[in-house]
Amino acid sequence: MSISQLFIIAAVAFLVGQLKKGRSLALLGISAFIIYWLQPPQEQITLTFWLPTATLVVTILAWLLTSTPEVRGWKQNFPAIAVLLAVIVLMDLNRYFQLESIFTTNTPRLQWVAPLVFILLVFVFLIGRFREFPPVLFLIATIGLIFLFVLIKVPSALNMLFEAASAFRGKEASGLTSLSWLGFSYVAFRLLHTILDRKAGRLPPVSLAEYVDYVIFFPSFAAGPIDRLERFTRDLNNPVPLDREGWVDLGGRFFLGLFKKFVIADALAWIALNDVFAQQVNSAAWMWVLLYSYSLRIYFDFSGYTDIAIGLGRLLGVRLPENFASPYLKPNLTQFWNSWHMTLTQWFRSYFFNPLTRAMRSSKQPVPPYLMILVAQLGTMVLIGLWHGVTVGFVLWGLWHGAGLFIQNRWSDYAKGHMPRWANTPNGQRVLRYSGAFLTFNFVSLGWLFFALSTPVKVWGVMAILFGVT
Amino acid sequence: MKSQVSPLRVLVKALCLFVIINVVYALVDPQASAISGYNLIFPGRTRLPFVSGGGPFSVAVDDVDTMFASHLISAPKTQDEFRVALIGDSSIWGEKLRAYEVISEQWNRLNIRCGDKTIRVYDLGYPHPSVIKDLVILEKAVEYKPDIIIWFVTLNTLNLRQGNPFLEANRERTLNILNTYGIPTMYDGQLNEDKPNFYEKTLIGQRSKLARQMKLQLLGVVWAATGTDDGALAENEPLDFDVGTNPRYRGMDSSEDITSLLLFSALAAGVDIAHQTPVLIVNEPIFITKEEYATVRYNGMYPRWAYDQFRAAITEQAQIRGWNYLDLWNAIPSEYFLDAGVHRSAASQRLLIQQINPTLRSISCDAKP
Repeated sequence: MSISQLFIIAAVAFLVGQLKKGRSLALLGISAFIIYWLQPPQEQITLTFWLPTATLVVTILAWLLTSTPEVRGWKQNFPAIAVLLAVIVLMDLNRYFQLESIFTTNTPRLQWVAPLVFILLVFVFLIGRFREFPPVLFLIATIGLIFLFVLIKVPSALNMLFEAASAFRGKEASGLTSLSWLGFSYVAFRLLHTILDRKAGRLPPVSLAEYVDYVIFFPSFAAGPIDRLERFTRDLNNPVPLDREGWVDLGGRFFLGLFKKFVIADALAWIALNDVFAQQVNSAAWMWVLLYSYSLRIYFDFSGYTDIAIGLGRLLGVRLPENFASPYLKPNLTQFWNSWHMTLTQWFRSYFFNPLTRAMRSSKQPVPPYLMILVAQLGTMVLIGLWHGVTVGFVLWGLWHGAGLFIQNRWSDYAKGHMPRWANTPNGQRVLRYSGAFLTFNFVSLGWLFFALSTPVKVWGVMAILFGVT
Repeated sequence: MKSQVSPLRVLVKALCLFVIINVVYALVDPQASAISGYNLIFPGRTRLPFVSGGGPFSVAVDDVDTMFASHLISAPKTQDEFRVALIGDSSIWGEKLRAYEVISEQWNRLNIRCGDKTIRVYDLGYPHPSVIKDLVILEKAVEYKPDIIIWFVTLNTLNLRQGNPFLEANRERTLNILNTYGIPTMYDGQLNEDKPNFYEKTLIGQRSKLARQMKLQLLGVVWAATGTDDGALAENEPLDFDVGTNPRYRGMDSSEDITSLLLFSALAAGVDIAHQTPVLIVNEPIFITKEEYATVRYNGMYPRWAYDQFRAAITEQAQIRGWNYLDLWNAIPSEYFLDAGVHRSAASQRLLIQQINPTLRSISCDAKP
């Protein structure tokens, strides 16, 4: 997103935030429009239209699955479905409006889109009449979302799919190699959260407008944070009033975010480690400088976007959850992960780590605690790695952090009974805190090599230079 | 405790400060271009910054003060240094070559003595063939007290051409030179009209220039870390340059006289700007095709008739005006070229140094007591 886009979005958020009535619907229409507007152009140009449309369709289907019959009423949800379908049709009509600055003009013909809209309408109407869905449907939806997620993250799978689609249409293979589906990583996590919570009977019933507002809430759509539905709808229905302090707070947050992202992070991007620089660096010291630049850049970029999202959320009366809490100053890896991309790690804790450790604890075959921790840490971190992309590098990054968390956990247990006396003095505590932060920052920075460089071979090469092995 | 801060007052104060800072910046016109970490925190660059093929090393900086501030020549001149400034276009800048392969670096590695001093060569080439651009750089180079200036020219350098971003970015310097020496160009009127307005002088109006300068400074880290300033390098492809059979040069045919278009007055101005510093003008080597069409064209840039006219004219001018002149047009065999024009390989730079060294010594070293 550019600065001008962000200022336009802020102005829109301000206006929507001032509405006394119809906020939810207005937010719905604006959010739906914004996901089209921000969708990057695709190799296959009509995908630029189909991807945001798919986001909306998948979200509507997920709502049908997770909602209760009481909130599925046709009358209650008709305005929301009308707004969403209107946005889909309007964006499709851009082939006639030719507003290139807003959206691609290469949208599919209306005769392709209109039947889809009609089918969706009928589907929503019919499904709305069901009282309950079989539990297997939740499992299918969960697996389906994960499959979709993997599909867009694996270029070869994507290519195969498009070759098959081309063959079906009797056209030459398109050879699609990448897909940039704006915000889908976050959308998938929000949807999975609602599906899994609904299955567990924990999800509050919400209307279509509230549900879609939650999933595609434009301030946090592209880069998080990942809120929880029940918390979000609470703020949506009872917006946090903006008093004098609130204005100062949101203004400070928004502009701090802009500064972090567009001044600090973008400047650091010029000197952050990448494949090209890594090949030519002439000393270990400079390699460390470029690696630290990468570490700081990724932090300022991401936390900057979070600040912007939180500021924009406040304009709309929604207090989005915090995502960062000075992670690079934390004295150990566990605390780092409790303060880095917090909403993502909380998600994995809720839906993977905790269920997995619970299952291991209650298994008939007793699992030793250390093995339980090892498996859960490695599994969680590898999955977080795969969330960034299905590559060997991200798996290794996950293993790196999983192993780090395990070692740190074991060390903490060991150290409790073996700490020398000086370690309990104020100065000793300070030394431990600073040295811990130093070690943690460097461990995390070394892990970023798997992000910064395209292959594990390059990572080993750079590590060798960093430690003077070559 | 409730905050006593009024958001409206914060906004008004911020706007006032924004306006004041911008107005003051425009009025004071601080010489931000002179601020540089090069030669201080990072080593100076061996050639002027230039965007060549994009990539992570590139930065588009056109302001001559900023460019020089990042260059090695801005470091203090040592007592035993005999300073040589090279002026020219992309072939001297070192297009498709690594920073350590450029002519100045190869020259310096030879550690040639000139009397009791060591020759230190500075590459001040810049990839745009324009004698006016060369004059702007030459005038700036003189501030760094070179002992000799070697000025590489070719037909395209001396030809009247349209303006370019470099001249626009150095508008005042360019106009000053053009007006002082009465050099006729097609773009001085355009440059006069492009006088920046007040808004363009403010901080916000200068934001793009300042951002690029900031990038140049940050790229000092990359320069220090990698010794690389350009990602577009020569590929080891077999030389197969088709020079074609087109006999025309910029729409003109062999019946026309191109010498009237050549800016010899600019060369004279350069010699005058250098003042006491000797200037050696070199007709730079060009690719000469071995193909069957060699009777029509020398290369992809020049038909024979046009280039021959140019050579004859510059040789005559050098004799009339008493310039130090060296004609090296055919000094480098075609296999040393990277394209069908003037861009040469790293190995060719060594040949060129061998060709120039005797003349350099005769002008500057041997003549000294």
